[in-house]
Amino acid sequence: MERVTNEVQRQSETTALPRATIYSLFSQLLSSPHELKPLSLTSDISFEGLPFDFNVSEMIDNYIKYDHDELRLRYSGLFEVGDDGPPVPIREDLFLAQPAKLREDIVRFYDYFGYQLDEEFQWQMDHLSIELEFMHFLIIGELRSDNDKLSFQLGQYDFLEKHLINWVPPFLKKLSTLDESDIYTKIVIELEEFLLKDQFWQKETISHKDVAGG
Amino acid sequence: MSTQAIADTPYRGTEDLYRRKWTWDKVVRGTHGTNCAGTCAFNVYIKDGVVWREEQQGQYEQLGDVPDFGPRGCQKGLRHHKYMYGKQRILYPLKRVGERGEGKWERISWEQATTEIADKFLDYATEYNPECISYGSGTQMSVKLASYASLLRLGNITGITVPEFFSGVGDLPTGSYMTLGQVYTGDTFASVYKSKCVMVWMSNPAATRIPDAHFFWEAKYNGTQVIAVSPEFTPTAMHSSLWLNPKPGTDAALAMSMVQVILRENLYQADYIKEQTDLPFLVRTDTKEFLRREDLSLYGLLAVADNVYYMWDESTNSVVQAPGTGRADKPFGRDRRKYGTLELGEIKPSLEGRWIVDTLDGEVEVTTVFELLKEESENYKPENASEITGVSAKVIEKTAKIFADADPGMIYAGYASCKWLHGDLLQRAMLLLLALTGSTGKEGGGLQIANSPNARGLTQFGFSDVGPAFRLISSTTWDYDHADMKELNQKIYGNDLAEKFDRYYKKSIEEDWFPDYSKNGWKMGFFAGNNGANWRATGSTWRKTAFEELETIVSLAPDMGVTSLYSDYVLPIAHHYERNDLMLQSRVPYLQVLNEAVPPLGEAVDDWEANRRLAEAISRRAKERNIKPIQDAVDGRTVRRDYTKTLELYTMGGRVNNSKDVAQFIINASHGIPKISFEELSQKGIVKVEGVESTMWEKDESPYHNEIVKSVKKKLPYETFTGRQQFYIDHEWFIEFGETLPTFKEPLKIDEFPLRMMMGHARHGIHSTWRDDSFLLSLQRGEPDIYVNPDDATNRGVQDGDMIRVYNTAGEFFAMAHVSSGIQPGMLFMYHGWDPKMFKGDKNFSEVIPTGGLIKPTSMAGDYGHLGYQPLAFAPNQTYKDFTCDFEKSA
Repeated sequence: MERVTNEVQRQSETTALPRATIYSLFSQLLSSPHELKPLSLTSDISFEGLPFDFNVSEMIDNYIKYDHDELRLRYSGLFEVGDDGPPVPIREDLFLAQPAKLREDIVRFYDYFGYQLDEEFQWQMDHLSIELEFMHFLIIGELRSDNDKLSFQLGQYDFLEKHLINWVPPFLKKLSTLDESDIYTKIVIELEEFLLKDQFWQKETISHKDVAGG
Repeated sequence: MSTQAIADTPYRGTEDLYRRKWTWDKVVRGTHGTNCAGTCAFNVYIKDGVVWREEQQGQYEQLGDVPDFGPRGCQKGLRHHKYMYGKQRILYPLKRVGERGEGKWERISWEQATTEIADKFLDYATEYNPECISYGSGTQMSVKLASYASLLRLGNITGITVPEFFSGVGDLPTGSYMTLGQVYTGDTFASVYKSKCVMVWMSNPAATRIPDAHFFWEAKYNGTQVIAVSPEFTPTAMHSSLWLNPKPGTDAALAMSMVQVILRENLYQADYIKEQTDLPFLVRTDTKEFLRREDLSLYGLLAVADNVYYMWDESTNSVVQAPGTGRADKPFGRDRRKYGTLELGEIKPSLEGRWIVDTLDGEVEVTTVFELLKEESENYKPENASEITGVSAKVIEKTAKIFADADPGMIYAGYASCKWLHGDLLQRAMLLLLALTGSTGKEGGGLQIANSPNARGLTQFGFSDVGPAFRLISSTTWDYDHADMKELNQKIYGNDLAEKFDRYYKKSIEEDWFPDYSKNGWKMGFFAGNNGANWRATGSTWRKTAFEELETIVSLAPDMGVTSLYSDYVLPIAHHYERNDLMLQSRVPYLQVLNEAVPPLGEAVDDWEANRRLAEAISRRAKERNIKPIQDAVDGRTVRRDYTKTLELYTMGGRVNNSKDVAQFIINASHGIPKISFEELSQKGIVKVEGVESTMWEKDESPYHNEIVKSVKKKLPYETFTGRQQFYIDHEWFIEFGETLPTFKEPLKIDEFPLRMMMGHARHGIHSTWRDDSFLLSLQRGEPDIYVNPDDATNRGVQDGDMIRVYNTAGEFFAMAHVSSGIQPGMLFMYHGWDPKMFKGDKNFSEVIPTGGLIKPTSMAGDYGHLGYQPLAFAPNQTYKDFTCDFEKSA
């Protein structure tokens, strides 16, 4: 079976940019605030052309209530430091207890699509924010590609399914057990919803064609 | 975060990812800088800035006709590529925000961390004295030469106290020092192959020396008798020719019984002991002291000549001065070796006999040390020793004869032999066995415990431009001064013992035999490469009464452990493949490189850089706060400490800027290391050291200690009071305690607790490093387990796999019962290194080990030639073994 996308449904020209923007937004929200300048966000951000319902205004309203120092403290306490490792590792490999070949699979995705990390981030290629940025990278690739959108579209679907969908739901579950009301829990609640919707939508735009020869 | 490039090959499914060949960006030489003494050369495979795998380099040469050293490595090292990315890694500077030990942290910047630490440092150094600030370095740091050199330099400049870890972890071979004036007697591991009989005593190299254990088995195939001595059936015992299983702590009785057999059967090497040992020296039977010059002439009353000893010469039938004794310049030390010789010449010393000698006290009876030894050994006839040790008399006889017949015999002793209160007596007995059989100083013979590089490169780096002003201290007595050790002794062993030990401790300090650390208090502690809160043998006492009482605790570590958990600041340190450094371990005749194969993870830096940042902050804050220089005093010398110049001094005025520069300095300044550029060493990975033509360190060109070989082969006096292998010590305390000669003393126990708990190095960890690795745990039982005898288990209703509570009056901990017939009744066995955080209630085995206050009085003796405080040579060990406990099934 060969997979193809239905360009009529996919409408890359209009759907890609809002999808990429949301992946980028989540990537930045889930990057370490120790390594990023404070984000300038407003709750009236819109994602015109997004092929499914998704609203982040409440989450952003919540987020902007916190000053940067408070975010740093919360982020570090959840994802970066702890006496037995961080309470909720924000790296897929660590969160899933270092299964064999997981990081290799991620690097193979990155290498295949030419996604290169700066030296200081290479060791954490499995960081949630980096995986989300990779999705952003693939979607922009889809948008910009003239003759091989399919590669980027299938790459998105496979990476989402093999990695993000595989670990973000249990990641959220663990986060929720620690503090349901934490801003980062709220962000990941929204992220999970977005990933599931995006996965469902992507699946609808992909069909399978039997190409078996006689 | 990324530079974008669009893929140019169609992607149709995940199988396309795997059609592309996986390639490496580079392969780098490296090793693991832990204290396994392995220094195994590895190739480290890198792609996209990540270490993915490692492989044994395996390019070692043979030494003569012995098997080669390669390939080297073990499962722990081969797992490091995964472990270094594990959840335990400390990636950022942390500041405690909760209570100590609560595990609540704030990630802060290096600048904030070092500024706050520097301010506290300056407060304590100026208000009290820099002595109240300690900087402990565990082996994870100190075996890396450039890293330890950086601490040496920082300590020398600032005046902080650097506790030595050798006696601190109970590894100091004090019995070896008492007997030979040296603790560094070890050869390369290949020397095992040259032995005719090697007794593997209190050691388990099959599990703990994985890269080198092959020498034992190759030697065995070559006809060597490999005799394992351990109370439990170890992986080493399994492969040995013979296994002796004395009851825990009775080993000295076994050794003395072998001595008795050798003496009784006249199996000793008389020529060797007459020349090399004090066994022919004369002792007054009235005072139990050596016959000395002051006994014979008024001139001898001058203290400078009190190291003259005598023999009875059979050829002249008279008392004669023993060759090599009586130099009036200095009672001991290397200088005297220039003058004396052990050569007997025409003298024919008697080993046996009693004579009357005219002295200033009138006629007194004298005899030889040998005679006294024979008398002492009669207490350990095999049938007597069998009752003490549980080893049959026949096996003792057989073993003694095998050992005496071997030329040479070797005793490969683990550091466990140092960890008993009376471990010194055991080592003295081991050395006696080796002396009687003429084995010490021969290739394939002698006591194999430790050796260490001559530290010229390190000290030159530490002291360059500023001169030595370094506070290296005995951590065992430091702990006694700063924690409630006397109270612990009272609680566990009773008031009499506590008072007695305390009295001798104080006497030694009063006599100035050992330094007094109590004057300036202890305010701040740095702990680098050192899980200091894990290895103290004091239950929770040290942690509660000293460690947690510190006003500021700073940990510098690559991985989280209990010490970091209780710290106020935690600074992230680079792991083995993230740093440039050097390793030099005497078991392997190669200098080994550590390369920065990948950048340090997160904000980690290597030890040099961490200390540079501290030095920078100290200088900066000292200037901003206008801190004036202080007057300090070290070893009687006045030292001016100007903290505004800390960074300038640390970097030698900017000449040394990173750990590569330090490594190069050490290479250039060290004895016995080929003069090679660090870059070239980086490419090669390993380079053979100089002066290694046999399996032993016998050449002056080599980088290791070889004093004992010189004494045997060149007949140079030993660095002992008698100038001989000294088996008789007539210091007043040794006489008082009945320890003039090697002997056996029962280990201490805790009343009403019947079981001895033994511990040993683990197969699946190096101390606490890698102990929590998930894959390595999967090769074990997944959690801390403790071995128990089947009968002991049955009597307590315990089955294999049950959780048990191990307890005594000191405390309790919980672990899984591992029921094994390899454990004799009356004992428990647990591999060490498990961090408290792996146990219920964060309480590990150290909860029941209350021995840290057992400071052996004779190990603090002084004013006796070579005996007196010598850092890294003569200091009391931390005792770990002299306690008992019990266990029960846990709910």
